[in-house]
Amino acid sequence: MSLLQISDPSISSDDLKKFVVGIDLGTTNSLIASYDTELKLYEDNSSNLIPSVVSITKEDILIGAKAADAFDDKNATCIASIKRIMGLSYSDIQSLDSKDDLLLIKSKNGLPCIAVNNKEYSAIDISSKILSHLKNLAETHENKAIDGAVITVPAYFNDIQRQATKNAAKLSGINVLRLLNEPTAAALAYGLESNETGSFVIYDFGGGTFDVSVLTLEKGIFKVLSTDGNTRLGGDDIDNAIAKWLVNNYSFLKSYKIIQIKKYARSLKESMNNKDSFSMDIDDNTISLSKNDFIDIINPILNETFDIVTNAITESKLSSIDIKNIILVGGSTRIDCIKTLLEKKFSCGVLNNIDPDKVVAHGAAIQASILSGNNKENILLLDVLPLSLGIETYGGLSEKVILRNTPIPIKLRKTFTTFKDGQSKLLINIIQGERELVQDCNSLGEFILKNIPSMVAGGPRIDVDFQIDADGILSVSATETTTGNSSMIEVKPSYGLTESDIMKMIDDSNNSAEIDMTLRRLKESIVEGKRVIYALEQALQNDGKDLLSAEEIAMVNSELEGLKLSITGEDSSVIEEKIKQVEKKSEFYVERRMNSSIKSFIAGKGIDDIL
Amino acid sequence: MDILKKNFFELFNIEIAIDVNRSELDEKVKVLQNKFHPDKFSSGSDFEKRLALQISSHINDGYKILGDIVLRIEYILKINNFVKDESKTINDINFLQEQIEYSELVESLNDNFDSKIIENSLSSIKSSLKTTVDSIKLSFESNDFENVWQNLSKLRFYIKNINELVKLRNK
Repeated sequence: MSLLQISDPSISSDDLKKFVVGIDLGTTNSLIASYDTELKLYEDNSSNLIPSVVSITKEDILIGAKAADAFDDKNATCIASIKRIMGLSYSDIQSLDSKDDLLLIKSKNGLPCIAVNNKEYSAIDISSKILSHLKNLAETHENKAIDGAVITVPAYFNDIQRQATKNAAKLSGINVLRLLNEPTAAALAYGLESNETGSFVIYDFGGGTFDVSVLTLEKGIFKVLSTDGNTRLGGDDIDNAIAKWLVNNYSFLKSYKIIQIKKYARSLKESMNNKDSFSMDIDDNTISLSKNDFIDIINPILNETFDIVTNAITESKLSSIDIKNIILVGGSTRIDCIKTLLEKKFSCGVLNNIDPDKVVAHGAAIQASILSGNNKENILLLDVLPLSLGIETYGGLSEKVILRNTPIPIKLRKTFTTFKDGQSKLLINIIQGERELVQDCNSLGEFILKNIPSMVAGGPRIDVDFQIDADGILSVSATETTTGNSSMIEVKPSYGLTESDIMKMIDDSNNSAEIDMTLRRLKESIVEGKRVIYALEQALQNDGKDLLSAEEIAMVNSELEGLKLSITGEDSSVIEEKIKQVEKKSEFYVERRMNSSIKSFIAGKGIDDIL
Repeated sequence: MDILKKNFFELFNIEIAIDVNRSELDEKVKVLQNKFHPDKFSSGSDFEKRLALQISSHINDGYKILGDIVLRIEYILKINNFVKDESKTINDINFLQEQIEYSELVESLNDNFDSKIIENSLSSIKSSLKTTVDSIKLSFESNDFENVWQNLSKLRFYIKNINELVKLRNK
């Protein structure tokens, strides 16, 4: 679709340009970037790798570089690697192999929380503090407010982990344009920079998570065929394994704090490349690690990642010979033997020529600029559902309704009925995961259908729609079809926050900046108003005469005039009202445009037009 | 909305047939998603976003159904208004005999792994599968949906058998 020239000279395309960013919210480090004509990474204390660390003292909360500096401060509680427990339940965390020595408690709403100085912080709270910090860095640097962000998540994150990430963003006042899978973001940056096409494996080994995606890159379309991973496997685990080895081999370390030993382990890991062995002094002792021992220590972890790669390739219906290259992403791929081992095992090229730390943020920034309309590059990312979605059936089994690696968005309708006369409620437990038994998967929440009309058992027909959006997030709706009554749905998350919890938290955090908010809202509504005017005028120029009658055009135009008038005023609520009105009144036109474009496709005319 | 009412063959503009050209289907889906995927309406109104989500989901649903031989044949039966009670069973004695022999074979393979037997039995099931698909095609051409349905049930068994054997082989 080629864009026409803007008709109204009072609205220039610069006015419509939005400040949007890509955020790589990592386990160890986070990055924030924008992409206008080139990549721009924002810095914290002159580094664009911003530690995902929050440090809490009695007086203050430090985030990022400053928090990391306070790591050795005895008066500060440092919280790192929070992403590892994002979206996990209290019992999930208890079963993790490596728990840090932080005090974990169960809060009122069932969320696991870290207690510091009599205050509770959930993983969402901590992540939102990190996101706010990132946002501030970018906004201070550009001296303008962020309009929207693409935030990356591990491809293998489940619905709860995705929701938690989105909620953390909401809490920090960030408008989320899209959650983007990390390997997909990396593929986007790689594909656009290299102009390569074909089938690729993204091997994304980060600080706390491991992801694999198999993709085909073509001109204009990057399509994920399959994805697999482990959200609890990363560089942290390598550090833990080395730390364990150190304690077993150097008894003097037994008197040291775990967090300290892990720091030594990390230093050793980072110094092993191109060396046969490496030694370091600790107080009056020396520790040393040979390359062979190092490989022995990390081999079980690497083998696990290689098995996951094999599975992902099988699931994609390709075989290793179809794979052009494996692309390394994530800080943990800096370990040099990973490249050699992968080359040997999969006999294909392994690329590490792109910066594995920055490529995800790079891709996210590009996607943000495409989604906001700033960037006119015609690229579409097609992703898949990482984990199967199921419903609990009799006997605690999970009946899968949407299989993993199904392209998203996707909707599935299931019809339910009652099994008792006069039954008025129905409870549906939604499950995510591959295993047969519900107890081995994640429950996404129990959905209660209420007010089912009183009928004999098996009488009511309740259609339940499971909609998964492009972010991989599920929403559920239901209607009783025999009477046409739409049943009330109540969604009770298994754990985590309800919508109203989130709204309350946002309100609490916003109270202080009332005036700022009013001004900001006005600015935002004017930009939004201009966008609506621009889009509609373009549409009218394109096909208004073909799809609308003269009266309809006149109606739409008069609505537009009303909106144009309103944006010269200073009342954001009036502008918002007008925008809604214009959009409502032009819904029929939007529908006609979509129908007409599918007609031209079926007639076989549209293909060149579209691609 | 017109688009959502179209059957999937119409939506992708391909002929209703038992066989589908996979790369043609891939191509059609890409072209349609490039037009209707929600990301293309990221700065649109809520209504546009909602429509795009519905249409894009519908396209993926069609992709899933037309891309899978069993789902595709079920769908062809459905759009031809051929509905049959799920509980009706297959009454082909030879086929039933074959399946009994098959489950005995798997049982013995579980006790005594033999890759040669697995390969042989895989290739024989694959050839039965091919015959079944051919006979489905013939029945479909003569509008004999009852026979399509009968063979579809067999097809499901053969596919299940093959997956099971492949899993056993890779173990």
